[in-house]
Amino acid sequence: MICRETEKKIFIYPELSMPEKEEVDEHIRECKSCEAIARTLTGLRETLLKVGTFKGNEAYNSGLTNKIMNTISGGHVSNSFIFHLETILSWSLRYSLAAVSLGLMILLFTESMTTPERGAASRTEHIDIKAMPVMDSKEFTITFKTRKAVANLRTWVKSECERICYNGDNAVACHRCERIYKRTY
Amino acid sequence: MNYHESKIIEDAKGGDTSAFRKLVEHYQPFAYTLAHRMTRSHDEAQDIVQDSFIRCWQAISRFDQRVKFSTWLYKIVMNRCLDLFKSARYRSRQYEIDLNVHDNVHDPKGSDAPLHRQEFLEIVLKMSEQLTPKQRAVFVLRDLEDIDVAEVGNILSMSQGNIKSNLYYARKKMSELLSKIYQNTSLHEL
Repeated sequence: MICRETEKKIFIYPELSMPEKEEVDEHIRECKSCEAIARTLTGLRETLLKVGTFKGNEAYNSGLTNKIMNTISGGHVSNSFIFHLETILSWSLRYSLAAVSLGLMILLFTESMTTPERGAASRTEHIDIKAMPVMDSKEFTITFKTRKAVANLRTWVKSECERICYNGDNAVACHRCERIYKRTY
Repeated sequence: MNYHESKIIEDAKGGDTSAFRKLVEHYQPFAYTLAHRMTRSHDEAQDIVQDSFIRCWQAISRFDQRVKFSTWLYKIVMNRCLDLFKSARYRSRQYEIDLNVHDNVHDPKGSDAPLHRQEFLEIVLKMSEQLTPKQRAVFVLRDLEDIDVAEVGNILSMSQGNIKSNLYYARKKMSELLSKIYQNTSLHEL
């Protein structure tokens, strides 16, 4: 066995199988440099075990135990099935659910922004405002104070004229008064 | 696992908080020591131990009693520690430590006072921060806690080959770092 191979095995000597240990021992008996490495590492390992191995209840902290038990017994934490959902749901599933929820929210938000008066718009959207006979009539521009008020154009026109022939996003036409009410802000 | 502990775990599985308290009282020092050796921070170790026991309580009804409770608990603690190492908060703290690591290490060459074991352990733990998280986990469990390879494998969900490989690099790095500091001091003197 060459020194480089042995050196690697010396570092993990306690974890080697018996035949592997015998092989290393045999090499060490004949190789001074490897023997020195082995001696240093044995010393280090013994020292680490001496200082590292846990000793009794030095680290016991009754305050921490009470804190843990208060959290558990205080009703904040339950070991019932519903509370296991956190561990049942894998992270990939959680991310997927979050992405789907976000997508739905964006979709709903976009829908509500583009069609504020969905019901009315769907009833009249097939009408082309330019093809209508009332198009040569006067235009009437209403200026609203807030964006929210702009969305109420249809309600306003309806309350004034009672008969709406077109309801678009930016304009509402009325047959009775032959006006096109445009939104501005 | 003895009959007594097995009975306590059975009771805890049934929702008995006083039985679970006994488990906390018994295993808390071990869990804390492990977390502290991994994080070197009292506050972070306490948080990890608290969180680990709460997770234990939440999942104890599914605990398989063929596995040792300590192995299961250590696994939870170790996972929490490894999660912490991945966090941005910890990495920024680590950066500060890396900058100061050599400033705070006690130099025994200039001192006649014998090295204290606790002091040596502190230095070892400080040095271990230069290992990768997996190397550090293997090093702490195997060389400081003296847990056998099979159990380390169960705790870290690693194969024996992987453990040996990580141990090799961890020990090599640690011996290099420590030999720089303790050139003239025999480790047997500690």
